[in-house]
Amino acid sequence: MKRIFVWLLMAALTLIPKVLFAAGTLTPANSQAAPMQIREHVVDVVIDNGFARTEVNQTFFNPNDSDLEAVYAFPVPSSASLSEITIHNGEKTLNGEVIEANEAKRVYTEERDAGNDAGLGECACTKPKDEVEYRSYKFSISPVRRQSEVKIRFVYYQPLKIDTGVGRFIYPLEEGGTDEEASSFWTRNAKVEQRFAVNVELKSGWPVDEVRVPGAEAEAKVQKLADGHYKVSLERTTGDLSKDFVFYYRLADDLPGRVELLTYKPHANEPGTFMLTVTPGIDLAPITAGGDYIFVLDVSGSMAGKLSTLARGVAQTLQQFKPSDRFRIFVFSDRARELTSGFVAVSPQSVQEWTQKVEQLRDEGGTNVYDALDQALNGVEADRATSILLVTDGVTNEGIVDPKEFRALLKKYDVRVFGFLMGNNANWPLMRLIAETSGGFYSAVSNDDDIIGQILLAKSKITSEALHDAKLDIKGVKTSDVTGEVIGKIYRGQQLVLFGRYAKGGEADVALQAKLTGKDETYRTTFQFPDVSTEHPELERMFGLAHIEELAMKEQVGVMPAQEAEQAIRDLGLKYQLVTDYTSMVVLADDVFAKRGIARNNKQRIDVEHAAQSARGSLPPSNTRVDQSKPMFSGRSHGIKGGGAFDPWMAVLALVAVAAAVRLRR
Amino acid sequence: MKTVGALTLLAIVCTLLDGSHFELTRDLSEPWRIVTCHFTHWSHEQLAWDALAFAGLGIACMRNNLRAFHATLLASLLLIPIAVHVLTPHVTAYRGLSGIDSALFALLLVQSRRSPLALACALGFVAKIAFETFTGGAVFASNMGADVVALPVAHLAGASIGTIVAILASYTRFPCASLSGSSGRC
Repeated sequence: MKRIFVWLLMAALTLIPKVLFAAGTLTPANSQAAPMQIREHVVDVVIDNGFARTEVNQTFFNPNDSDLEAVYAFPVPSSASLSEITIHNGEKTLNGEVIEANEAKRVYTEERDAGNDAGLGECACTKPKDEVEYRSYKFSISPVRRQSEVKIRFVYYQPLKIDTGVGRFIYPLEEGGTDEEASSFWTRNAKVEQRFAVNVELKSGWPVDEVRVPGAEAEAKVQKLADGHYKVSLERTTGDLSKDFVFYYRLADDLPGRVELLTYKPHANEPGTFMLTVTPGIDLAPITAGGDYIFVLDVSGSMAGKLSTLARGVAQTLQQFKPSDRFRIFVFSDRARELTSGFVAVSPQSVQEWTQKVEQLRDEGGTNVYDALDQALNGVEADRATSILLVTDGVTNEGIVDPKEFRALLKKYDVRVFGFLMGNNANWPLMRLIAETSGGFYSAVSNDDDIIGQILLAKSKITSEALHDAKLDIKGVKTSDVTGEVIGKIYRGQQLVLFGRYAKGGEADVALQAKLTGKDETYRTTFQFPDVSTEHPELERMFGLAHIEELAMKEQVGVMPAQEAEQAIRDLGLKYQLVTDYTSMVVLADDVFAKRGIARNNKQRIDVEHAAQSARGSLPPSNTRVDQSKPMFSGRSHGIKGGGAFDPWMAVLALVAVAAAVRLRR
Repeated sequence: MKTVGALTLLAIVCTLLDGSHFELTRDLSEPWRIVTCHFTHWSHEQLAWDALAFAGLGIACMRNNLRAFHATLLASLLLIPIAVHVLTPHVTAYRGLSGIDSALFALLLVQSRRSPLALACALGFVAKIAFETFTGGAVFASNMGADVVALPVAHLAGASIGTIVAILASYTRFPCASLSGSSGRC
């Protein structure tokens, strides 16, 4: 049964278009000017105990004989908090401050039109925006003087989860091409003319067995400095910003289940921020009973050229079903339709029949996910465990698109939806909502991912038991605004990352409560929250962004009014200096900020962050585990289990050999 | 017969109990796991086929040559987990009788090499081990559970032990019991 998912995901991974949109400089489609060139693109990443700091340095060159505005766009990385933009234009250095989005645009436009140096960083993070591609950042710099260079530097932070002992960092460059309106407005230049480099420093408190850069194994230089300390570099004289950079690291096997804590609390009398990472060490048994599987396959226009591969994948998937399993197949474009007629019992004949039918599928129209899910859910049998496997590469653009309707639909059924979402700027908020509402999960898959690794991770989750109704409870220390306290399901290998605020230090009693095979289980530990801690000021930004993501989700599902959510997100964006749908970063010279009366809140944050990073930089990787003295879990967090497989055929062969031996003796 | 019956029963009991107390783990701080890991299993299905093969092969090998059977059993109990530990450092836990099954299978096949049917079985066995070794996957869908991988090294080690014992037995004068029950030389 587990191979079902291997093949499904393999099929899904091949759905990604071979020619994709990319990060790059943008020129209005009707412009006569030559595109802005990218001379250098250098990315420096530091992954340090659960979060990554990514710094991008780019040099643009204006090959035209007149001054121009440079526009650069790239997909929003997962849970990234864009925190710094610096522009070096000639001898001038400009720095960024986050203010309200409309105000930022007005200030930038005024400075640009007056011929002054200025920059702007905007985001269509969860909502479409004029002239900004959906799920993209857009940077504008003006002016780039004729035949001259300008340098831009930006920094973002993001938490990284370890899944079944494997960490994954993606620097997204390839975007899904799902925002056709914005894409048609611009022509794009994704070519790097002189230098493309990515440098990754990995600092892990746990031993790392292996690091990998899929697709660039031969080029990437890997330097092991210590057990959990690696440096990886990739250098090219020219490059193309159409392929993601993916970096994997695998922790040593046999590590314990554990609780890790990072804090930032500069003053004893003021609240602090924490990032709590729980890596369960619980043996989740494989599911052996037969189940119902409903394929929901996207055959919209964007799938052209990929359907034959999809068919091959589904065909091979079907062949892995057990006789006790059943399946249905739905396809969708403008509307959904069922390919099968109700559930089909697995037999060699049925597998062959439906394989042929899937092979005959043709692409057509838009993407109506709601209709597909509605039809798939209709007819589910309550006494059978049912899973929906939704594969799509696009946004929902036909039929019902309101997330509240999706939530209402899924709440009616006890069915898990597992989504495989292709492309960096596909509609992940909707997929997250669908997956979380149903108790499933979604997997955003890059075209340049380690395919086998992704397959193995998804497979082991779907085919193993999960913890249900999980909830994390912190007592003894007064906490507030904790993101993700009500967890729902925990799948095999899944790590929990929670952000929150705490009033003052002290001993905390932390309990993870969940149901395992219907039985209530509690995993408990105690550890100390520090009263003063200055090592990780970046936590405040990541806390702010995690909170913003929760607010956006609440608005989507209709439990928070749009205006209230917008105001709360705007306030958080301003407080923590984050670029959001409602806040942008205006980049100006120091004297212009003073002249316009714009407070330097971001500068203050950056100064503190740089000081902390400088102090940490010289230190070896540190282990942030806090439950050593009273472990929360008795088991291991991950690891490969092995055994001999004397399958039925081998057993029969052995018995035939026994018969042969008996006959020989006689 | 009693040995095979007792060991099969032990495998059933160990699998029904919490297998984490018996499986082979990497730290080796509890050395008894080297022996107990054979008798616990990842799933009941894995147990069923392993135990069936063990019972059949065990009885045949016992009746064929008792000393060779004991030598194979003893060597397998100790050497297969050591081979798994040394040759597969990425594996954190190991369970199953199939390594011993492989040893007994090889022992029986070498002892029955004059039978064309046994030779055919030997070819199938070798092909399976070769496939597993070179592809890293099982020939048939695994019956061990979602997150458990087949370890060809256990089968390879088992088959090597069985073959070596069978060859040694053919050069030494192990007293053996014939299938009809009378004592003799093998």
